[in-house]
Amino acid sequence: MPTDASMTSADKRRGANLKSPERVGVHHVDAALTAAGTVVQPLSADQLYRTTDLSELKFATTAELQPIEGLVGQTRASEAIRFGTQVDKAGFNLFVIGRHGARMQDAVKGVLTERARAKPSPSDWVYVNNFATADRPIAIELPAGRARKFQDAMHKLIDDLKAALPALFQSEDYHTRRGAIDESFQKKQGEALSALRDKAAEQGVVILRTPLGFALAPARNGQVVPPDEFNSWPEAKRRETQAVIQALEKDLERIIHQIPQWETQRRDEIRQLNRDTAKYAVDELVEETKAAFNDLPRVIQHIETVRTDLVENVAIFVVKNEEGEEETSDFRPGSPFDRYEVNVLVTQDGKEPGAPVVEELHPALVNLIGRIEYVSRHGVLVTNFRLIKAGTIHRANGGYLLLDARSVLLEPFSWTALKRTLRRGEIAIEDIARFIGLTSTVSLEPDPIPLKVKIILFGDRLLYFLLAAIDPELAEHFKVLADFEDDVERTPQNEAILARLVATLARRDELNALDRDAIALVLEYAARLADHAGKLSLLVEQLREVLIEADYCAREAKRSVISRADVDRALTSRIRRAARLRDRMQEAILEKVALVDTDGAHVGQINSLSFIELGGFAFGRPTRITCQVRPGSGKVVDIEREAKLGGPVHSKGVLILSGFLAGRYALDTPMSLLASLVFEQSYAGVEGDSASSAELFALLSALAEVPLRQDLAVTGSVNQHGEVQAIGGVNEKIEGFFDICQARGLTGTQGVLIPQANVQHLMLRKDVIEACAAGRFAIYPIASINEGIALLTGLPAGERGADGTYPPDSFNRRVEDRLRSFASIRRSFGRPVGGGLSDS
Amino acid sequence: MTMGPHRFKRLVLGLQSSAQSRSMPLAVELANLLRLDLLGLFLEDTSLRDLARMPFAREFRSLGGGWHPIDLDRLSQDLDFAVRSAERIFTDAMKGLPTKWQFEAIRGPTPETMASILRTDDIVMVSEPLSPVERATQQFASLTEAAFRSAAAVMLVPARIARGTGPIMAVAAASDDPSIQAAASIAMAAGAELVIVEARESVALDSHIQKLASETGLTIRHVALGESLLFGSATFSPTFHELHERLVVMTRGVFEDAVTLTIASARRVPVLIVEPPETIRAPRETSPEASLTADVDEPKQA
Repeated sequence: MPTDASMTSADKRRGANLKSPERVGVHHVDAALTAAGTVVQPLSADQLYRTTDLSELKFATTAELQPIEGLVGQTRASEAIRFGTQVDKAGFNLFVIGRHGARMQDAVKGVLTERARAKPSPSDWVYVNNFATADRPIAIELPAGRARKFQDAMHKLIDDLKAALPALFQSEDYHTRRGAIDESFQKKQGEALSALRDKAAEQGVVILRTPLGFALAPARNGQVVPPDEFNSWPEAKRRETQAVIQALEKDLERIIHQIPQWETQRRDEIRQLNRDTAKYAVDELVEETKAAFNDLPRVIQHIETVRTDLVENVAIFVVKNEEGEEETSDFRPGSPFDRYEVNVLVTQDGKEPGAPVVEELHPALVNLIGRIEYVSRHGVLVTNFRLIKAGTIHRANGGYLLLDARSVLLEPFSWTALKRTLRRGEIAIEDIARFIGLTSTVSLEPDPIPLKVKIILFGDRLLYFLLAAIDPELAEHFKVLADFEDDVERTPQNEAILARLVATLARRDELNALDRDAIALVLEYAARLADHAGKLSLLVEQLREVLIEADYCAREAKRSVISRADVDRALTSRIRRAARLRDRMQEAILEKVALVDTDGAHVGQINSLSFIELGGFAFGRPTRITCQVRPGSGKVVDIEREAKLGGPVHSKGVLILSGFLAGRYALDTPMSLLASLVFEQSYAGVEGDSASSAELFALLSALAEVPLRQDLAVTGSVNQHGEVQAIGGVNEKIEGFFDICQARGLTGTQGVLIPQANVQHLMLRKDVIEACAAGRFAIYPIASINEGIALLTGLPAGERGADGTYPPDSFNRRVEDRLRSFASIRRSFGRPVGGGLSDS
Repeated sequence: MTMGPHRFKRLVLGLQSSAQSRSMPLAVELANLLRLDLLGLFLEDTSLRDLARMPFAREFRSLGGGWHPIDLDRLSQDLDFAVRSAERIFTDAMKGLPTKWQFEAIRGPTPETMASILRTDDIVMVSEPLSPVERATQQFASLTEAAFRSAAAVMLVPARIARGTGPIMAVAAASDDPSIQAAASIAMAAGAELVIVEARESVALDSHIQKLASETGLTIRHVALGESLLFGSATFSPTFHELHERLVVMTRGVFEDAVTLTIASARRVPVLIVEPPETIRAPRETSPEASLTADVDEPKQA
């Protein structure tokens, strides 16, 4: 709250500056005199709001309107999309830009889906085992829809073999032949060992097993001769026995060495028998499998490789599972039968014919280019070709992939991987965890798959321009720009089209139909969103939000058709929910915490209008600007800039004021002014130049010592010639000042000065229009500073006469005289005194 | 023929060969099924120590490579270690066995020791070693011979067992062949099918089989084959390839011991040879030559 002292000080300042209060009375707001004597008329009510013209469309409710799909009002973007999607060359991918809420994805997706139907379905892709190098799985392309058949055929082959091969290997023939081999080797071993045993027995020796091996010992009746008995034998007999044992040891050693060789031979013969046996069943079933794929050489080649491997590894089919596990478990990833399976990466089976249109909402690297998964087997992470998972690019290959640029950029590695994929022209699955050292387990390098996808990135303009500036590869890979219009010309035809679009949105969301008046208000809201009475916003999402809320209101009121009142209530509720901050700011003004006068007049003080947009809600706020002047070096001090609260555009606006002063007043005299300008009670940053005209009025008022009306607020930028230029947020600014005036009570003199160029943007609130129509509030369009001076001071600004001077008592004359007096004062201080230098 | 409980009380498992770890689960399974006590018998033939006392004694070490002198002290240590190791493995395997079990290590000549230990209500399990050299050793020959000479039933376990599931097969030479009753008891305990093979044309088992089936509730398959067809070749008759039996039960004396061994080897399933009634003898007295090398534990309840 302001203190008593400050209020007293303010009052004193007002009194001191009001040198000629009788001449600066409050004028009626209906008109004001310009220097040239022309009248600046307040805008009429019909200039403040443009109603909808639905004459092009005959309907009672939107239920009768034909829906409209695709790109509405986007001729430029539509042409770009048509071009981008039809040129089949590398790099001609699309970057679609526009404002958030334009629902570009939906619109483009609709267009592409239509176009994709006419295109051929892309190929299916599968990964199969590489029998030569298992860590480099082989990719095979198949005609659309045949991957699953290939997978089923291979699965059936293995299933059949799992039944056929064990039966074959339990057959009488196999057992006989296998038994013959085993028997032959056992016989060979047995004969050799029996011969040795018999030979040893004949010579009174037996073979013994020791804890670590084998030994030979003298024996009698099959029992080892006790040592005492042996020692009692004659020397010759003992030596003879030892010699016999030594000889037999050599035989035993030879046989023991021979056994592994026999075993190897036995295994080789059994392997060959297994091969021959397996080949019989495998050949027949493989030929059956091949029959369905004779037109696909790559598939046939793979099946042949499988045939060779099956014959070589038939044991996995024959070895019984002692654990009694379910047979289906054999097909789990990591099982021995994996190698014969087919991993269907992408298939068109069961899909609508045509090219795919895929949108990836979470473009993480693994979602984008696929991934290699792992399973834990006995505590170790393992993988194989069956664990290769497709990414969105695989699924979109042969069609269109829609990605949100911001999401892609926010995901680690995704943007670079996308560019790398586009540059390579093929999709290579990369195990990023390995690259960054998160895992050191064995991984795969699957065959890359040729890329034939059209990528469509969506983003806002700023993102696109920033990306274009910092990433030269953007232009290489996204050569086609589709720039979505934010709005469209507000013609009756376009109003009719937008009405149909609104009807389509309502229908898509299963909302109640809107009546004519409701549609009219929605379209007027679209114009307000466009910040232009002559345009309609194409930010469909915001219109949809209003429709949903209006539908809620209608349903709550038990109405089956959305009326204008429902739409109005929806719009009001939306503002109410978002306007807490605005209300608190207005409360501060009304409680005189923030000082803004709405009556009276003061020198060097004016009401400016700020535009604040937070969380999608915009509002205007009156702010007091004050100015102090004194003789000086010709400098206008921008306190905001000095305090580092002013942005560059704002500073530029203030510097323009110096240019204006220098070019208009006391051209024969050095500028000897020191002025300071400040946004009072502004504690945050100030940016933009929309207050530069207000700042100039405050500066001129301070110089001329003529008070400015406080029942008026001003917005508009100014150039060095004193022309008032257009600004943004004009509706919100007017409404911001109106709210304060209305809360304090409209006096009939209050109003807002806006740039004339902003009149076309006016789509004001109903209560503001009603007040203006009743003469209780006014909007003045001004084109020049002189027009503003006349309105704010009641004095004509004054034009230079033939003698080059402004008329006496004109506002400009006062300014010029004051500046000359400053120069004179400065000159007097500039004369050397006692040889010293003056302070400039 | 009237079906009664089997007469076996104890299963004796020889633990001294390298086949012990393979036959242990089978022994546990059989003891569990038939509610038999289990005796793990480590038989240390004294012939090794006799050999070690001879100055020229040496052994061929298959893992160490080449010939090495046999040192008596080292041999004693190795044998002690083998006993402890066998006991540990045996004890581990017995966990969960509901019947009594016991480990014994006995030193002495194999024939006498076996004769002293085995009883008529025993089944002695003789496991064929995997190594062909071990099969040619005197210890294995002595063990097999002693088992066959004993009053106990003998179960021959082949070096490689083809399957652990399937029917129990009795090869019967007469309608009151003890193999039928033994096989039926095992089949009942195991909940398995019983296959009775007529080994001689004149057996005419049909009525007996019907009676057995009604008494036991067993599923019984009857295969009639002559001896000539049954053992027409060394690899056993092809007819049996489709039976997929897990155990063959035969009566000693019906066929020669060599034929029995051939069946075990060719079919790669255990073969249980039961004693004919007339040869069942009383348990022999313990041989004075046999001596215990380790404390004999009292039967343990697992």
